[in-house]
Amino acid sequence: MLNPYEKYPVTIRSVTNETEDKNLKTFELTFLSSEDAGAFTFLPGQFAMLWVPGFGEIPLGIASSPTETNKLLFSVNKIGKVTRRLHQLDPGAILGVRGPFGNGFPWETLKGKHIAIIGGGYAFTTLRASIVYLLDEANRNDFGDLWVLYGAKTAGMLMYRNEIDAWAARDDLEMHISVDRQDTPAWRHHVGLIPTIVTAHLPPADEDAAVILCGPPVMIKFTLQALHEKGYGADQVYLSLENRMKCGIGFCGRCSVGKDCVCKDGPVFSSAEVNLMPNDF
Amino acid sequence: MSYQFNADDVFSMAEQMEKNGASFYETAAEGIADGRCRKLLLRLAAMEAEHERSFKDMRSELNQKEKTSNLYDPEGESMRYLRALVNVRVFFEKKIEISSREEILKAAVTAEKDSIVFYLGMKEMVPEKAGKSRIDAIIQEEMDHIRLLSEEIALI
Amino acid sequence: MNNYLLKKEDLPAFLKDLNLQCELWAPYTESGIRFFHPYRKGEQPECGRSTRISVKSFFLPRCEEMFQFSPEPDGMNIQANLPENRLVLFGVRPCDARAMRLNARVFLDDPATPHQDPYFGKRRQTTLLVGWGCDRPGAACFCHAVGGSPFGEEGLDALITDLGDNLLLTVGTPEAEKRIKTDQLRTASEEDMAAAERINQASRETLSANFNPENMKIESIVSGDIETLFDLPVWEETASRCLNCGVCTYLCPTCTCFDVLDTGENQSGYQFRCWDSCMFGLFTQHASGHNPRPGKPERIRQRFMHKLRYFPERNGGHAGCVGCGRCVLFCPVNIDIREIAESMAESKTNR
Repeated sequence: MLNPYEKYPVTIRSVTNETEDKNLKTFELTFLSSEDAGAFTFLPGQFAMLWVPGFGEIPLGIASSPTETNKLLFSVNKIGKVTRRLHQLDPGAILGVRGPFGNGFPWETLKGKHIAIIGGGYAFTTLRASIVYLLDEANRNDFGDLWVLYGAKTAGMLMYRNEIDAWAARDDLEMHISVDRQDTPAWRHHVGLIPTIVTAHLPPADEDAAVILCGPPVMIKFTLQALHEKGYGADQVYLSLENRMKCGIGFCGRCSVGKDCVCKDGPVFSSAEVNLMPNDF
Repeated sequence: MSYQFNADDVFSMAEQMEKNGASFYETAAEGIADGRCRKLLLRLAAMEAEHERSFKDMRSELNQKEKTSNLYDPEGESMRYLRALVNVRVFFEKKIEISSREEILKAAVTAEKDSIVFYLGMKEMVPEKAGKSRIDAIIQEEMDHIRLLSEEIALI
Repeated sequence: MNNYLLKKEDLPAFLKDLNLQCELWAPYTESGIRFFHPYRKGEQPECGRSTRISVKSFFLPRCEEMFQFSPEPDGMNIQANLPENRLVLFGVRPCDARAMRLNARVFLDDPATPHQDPYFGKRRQTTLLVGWGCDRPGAACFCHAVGGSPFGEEGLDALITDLGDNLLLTVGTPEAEKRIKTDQLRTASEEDMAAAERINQASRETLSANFNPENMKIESIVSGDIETLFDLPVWEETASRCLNCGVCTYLCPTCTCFDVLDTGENQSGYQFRCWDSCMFGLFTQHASGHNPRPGKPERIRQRFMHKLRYFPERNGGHAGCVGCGRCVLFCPVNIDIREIAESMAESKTNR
């Protein structure tokens, strides 16, 4: 019997500060064994359990795309015991990775569709993976139009700055960037909350459209309303739920919502599925 | 955690809409020369303020299920998002015809009709136990406003 | 399936034999608590009554070291600590055995995941369960209301029925055939089988007399509306009494929630898992501070909704409760899962 609690040893290749408050860092990891690297095949939307030896394991959305060879990225917010320790570590430190886990975004269903990707705040990790995946020349033609909206509180809180600026310059996707509050005079993009931008700029829905939406709960609530007004059905919108996890593989019972476990039946669910879930997640 | 709206959200938005309306009519009244039109605009502003008060009263009668939400909102941003949702209803920012009393009243009726459309849409988003039927009371109020304004138009 | 007759006076020799092959554990009372202990030569085990704690700890120990880790020059040494012992558990209650079968649905057989839990799995593979049928159901027993029975063989490798002077030994699995020496035993006669059936019938009648199975109605709960169930007043009512002490989850044979923790320093230490309880406030608390089940009513609701609605919904209608009655007997404030089930089932008819 395989042991899904086994960890692939990894080392930190680089650490990048993403936000001006330095609470969000992106860790680039390398597998110590190339065999492990080869075994770790995933799809955007899936997560992994990152192990900090002696401190614990946490679930993290995989921020790199499977199309980026030899690159494993996690963007981590410093919020608890394990992440505080992680933020203290330097390149060369040894960690462990288990995964990939979860269902990921429904790429087979999304084929041929126009996709709108909407993300807010720290929830842009698996969305970055999705955008890189979609823009890869091996995949781009399998999907329709790509419309992206990424918003943060201020310009200094946006992640992946170089990349989002590069995407804004491309013509094979429509990129919108927004801040809730403008604090830099030279800001060239939108100012406004995400639902407002969605109402003003997202094309109305048709049956070949789908939305991937990730962000803080308040943003999700109001963006779902804005999407509803644009004609998007609850089965056309995909969310990624978060819950406290320990095993990540559906055994420890901690992340359960109703009959589902966020780790093994999710974390991606359609808005229609979420509406049927009991109200305790 | 429910992403759904409750009656309290919608009443909060209704209060904000009336506030926006009152402020719009007051600003319009300042810029107009015609005495009768100005009086009318100020009267409409007062009506909007009265509506805001009555929505506040109705809101205070909501029960637990119609006003509590377990949505995780540590920084209390719900109000900002509610206001943004209301402020994007552009009918109060439209340039309305204020050349005659009849035009002003007709524009006011259009505004009330637009707000009813909005509330009907919001009603779909509120589940039964979160106070869906309370939204009807808001819509009823707005229809009463339309009746009053239409009567005014008929008298001109 | 083969049925043999063992003279009761020959039981000590039979057990001694079993113990020679591999570790035999049987129920004995120690400090007033009946539980499984290693076989004691010369001391008759107390079969036929329930043990305070279920056999769950033989498959999911209270605390279990999963990995040891230590630094190496260019990496880390991570050693899994998989269980190796072969055990025989003798005198297992049919309800406990059925519970282990239900637990296997979570840890080994869930079609929604490709993963299996090797710690639970290895223990399941290397442990032989010999059951002792229940001819004296306890006052709080209700296996008959949740799909079980006092002489049920689900999850057991073999089952013993006490016929008085003799014991009927029903050997059910190939593993049991291999490990239990039956060449010296007489095959059971038709009369023996009839006697066993009479005892079984009597037990079932006692159970039905103690508790009417119609009162639990799992099917109603499974087909009820989730929102209605969620809003039942019983959650607040029960919360006013519940201490969130966790005794129910501790004793329950189908409660298997666990925590995974690291301990150690300087990159050296071990990762272990231990029992945890959905009754505890921090069970679902996020690092951000958000807690989906912040108060007692939410946590109590989750426990009963899981056992009586979500688990059967996901597992072919089988309730996540085997009716062993331990939570009923030992809850310090007398919360009774049967009464809660009744409230949940009633909600369907009262909508």
